[in-house]
Amino acid sequence: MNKNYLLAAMPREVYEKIAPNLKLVSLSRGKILHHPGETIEDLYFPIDCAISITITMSCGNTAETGIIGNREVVGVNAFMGGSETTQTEYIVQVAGSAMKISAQPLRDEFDRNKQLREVLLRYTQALIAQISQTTACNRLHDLEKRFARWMLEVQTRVEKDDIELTQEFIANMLGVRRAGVTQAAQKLQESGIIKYSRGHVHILDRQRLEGASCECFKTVKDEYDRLLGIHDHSSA
Amino acid sequence: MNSKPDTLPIILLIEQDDETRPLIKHNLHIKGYRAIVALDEEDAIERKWDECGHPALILLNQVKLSVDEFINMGRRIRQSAGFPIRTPIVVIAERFGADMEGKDVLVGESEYVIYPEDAQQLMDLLHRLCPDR
Repeated sequence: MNKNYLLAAMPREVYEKIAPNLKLVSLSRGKILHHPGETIEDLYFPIDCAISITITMSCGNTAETGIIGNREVVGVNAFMGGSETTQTEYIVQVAGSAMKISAQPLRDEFDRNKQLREVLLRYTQALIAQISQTTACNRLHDLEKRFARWMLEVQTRVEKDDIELTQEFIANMLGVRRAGVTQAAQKLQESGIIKYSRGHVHILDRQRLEGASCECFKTVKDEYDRLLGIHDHSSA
Repeated sequence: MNSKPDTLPIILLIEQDDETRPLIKHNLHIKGYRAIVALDEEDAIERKWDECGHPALILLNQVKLSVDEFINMGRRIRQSAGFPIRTPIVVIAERFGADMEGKDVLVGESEYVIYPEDAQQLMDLLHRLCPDR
């Protein structure tokens, strides 16, 4: 059953305290959950959707700096201060559902509950690990490996082999030219690892996709596993 | 793909993007073409074409300049390098709306602009224009 693993990692008594404030919502592809500079009013614990953290430069070019899915929460800045914001944008890249919670009750519970603080700060550490790894990956690894890594990051979060993704969107996320994505997809397709057609990616061989990816996917996954573990105490 | 490299149809590829260049060269090779890569117009014209044979097609990937400017660049390369006047020119468009996706547009007697929805569309067009592999 799909769930948010961060919610599931919370001790039962912590989860039961915040559960009344959680609301199941559907998020459509392309929906922007947060614009740069706005105060973060709500947090989202994705269940089967994927959300990109992006930065758009003054020239108009956009690149993804992080990806949020079922092991994460959107809006980490909200529990770090009274009226926090960020320069980043959060955009839904794969549609699906999430548990939404207003920032205030979570922040109140964060301030008085040490166990919740520990979980969310461990998660923040994992998110920093992901963003740090992505920074180095974008600088050091070639497009083909980054593309394969990105597909794995998305698939792991939505837990589906069929994903609706346009080349233009992927190019924006990777900060590369559309033609580069087209050719990287073709190369993986020729190898029988994925099938790409008309905005649809089907992952045919996950193991070989991991082989085609750079080390970053496994490094980040191991760090998430170490920091968060999986302790299922909730039905989220 | 078992043909000897010197019997394969040559595609002159003008690709300025360092990340895309090796990928498209690899994919052309897999599909049975010999890609000769040039970084820009000057580089393409200065090649010793008498020694390696004329290309069957000129493929340009749009970067920064407009599609029309890339079509004209292809025409200048074709003329200056002394290629046959009917050598097809294909420009891969970079930025376009969803309404153009999947289209191949003939913009001259033998000049095309492709708006790819996937890489197979490009390979299909190349196969139509260079069928004698």
